[in-house]
Amino acid sequence: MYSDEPVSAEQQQSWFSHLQGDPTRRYFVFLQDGRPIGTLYFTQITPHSCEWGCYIGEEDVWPGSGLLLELAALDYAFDVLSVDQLNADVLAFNTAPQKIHALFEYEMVGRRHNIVHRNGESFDAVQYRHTKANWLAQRGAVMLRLPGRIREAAALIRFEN
Amino acid sequence: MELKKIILEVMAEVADMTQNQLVDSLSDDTILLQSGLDSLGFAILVSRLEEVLGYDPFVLMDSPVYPRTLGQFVAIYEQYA
Repeated sequence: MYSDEPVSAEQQQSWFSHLQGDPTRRYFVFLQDGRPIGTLYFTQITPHSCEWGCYIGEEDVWPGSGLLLELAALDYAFDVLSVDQLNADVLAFNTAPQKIHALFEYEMVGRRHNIVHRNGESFDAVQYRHTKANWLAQRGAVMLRLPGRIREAAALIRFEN
Repeated sequence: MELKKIILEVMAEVADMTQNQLVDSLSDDTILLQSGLDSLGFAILVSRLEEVLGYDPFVLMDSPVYPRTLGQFVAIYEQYA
């Protein structure tokens, strides 16, 4: 998950073929005005919980695109996957998504120490959790904190298989 | 006031508000995603600029164009001023 090692074409094809029909994982390409700009994914899916992650791979995107992914993850996990709990791990040095998790009222539940090693350094991951009950109770208030354009764009989010 | 100066002032204001730290060397070539503002910061920036300037170019444009650099961001606002 946190590896930054180069991946060969064969490894990518193998990863993709194993993804097909795997009920514990769902990956979506984030299309913005028809253009693929990133990924939203769910892993470790069980009837009760799952973990999510995302990335934006382009530099010229709609301002606030990360907020849309955050919102899409919560709504999809609780409305479509119908899990009770959504988990998210963030590398400790990656502060931007942690601030957005706080804005969306995630609960910080723990820390995994030294799980990534890069260039001779070790890094922790911070663990976050949102429950369905909490999200449903807080969604309205969270939406009101977002800029109006984000709320309007959020209404246009849709998932296609 | 020059439009670019207004945008830079609002950027600084939004950075303070969202507890972001703008990079010291902001220039026209600065990649927006590397400017120090995060996703929330940019969403608020566009919202605040609409309040200050009275328009949102991303709503006014016929076909979507998304800026990669600060210079491109300013140019879009200048185009719709």
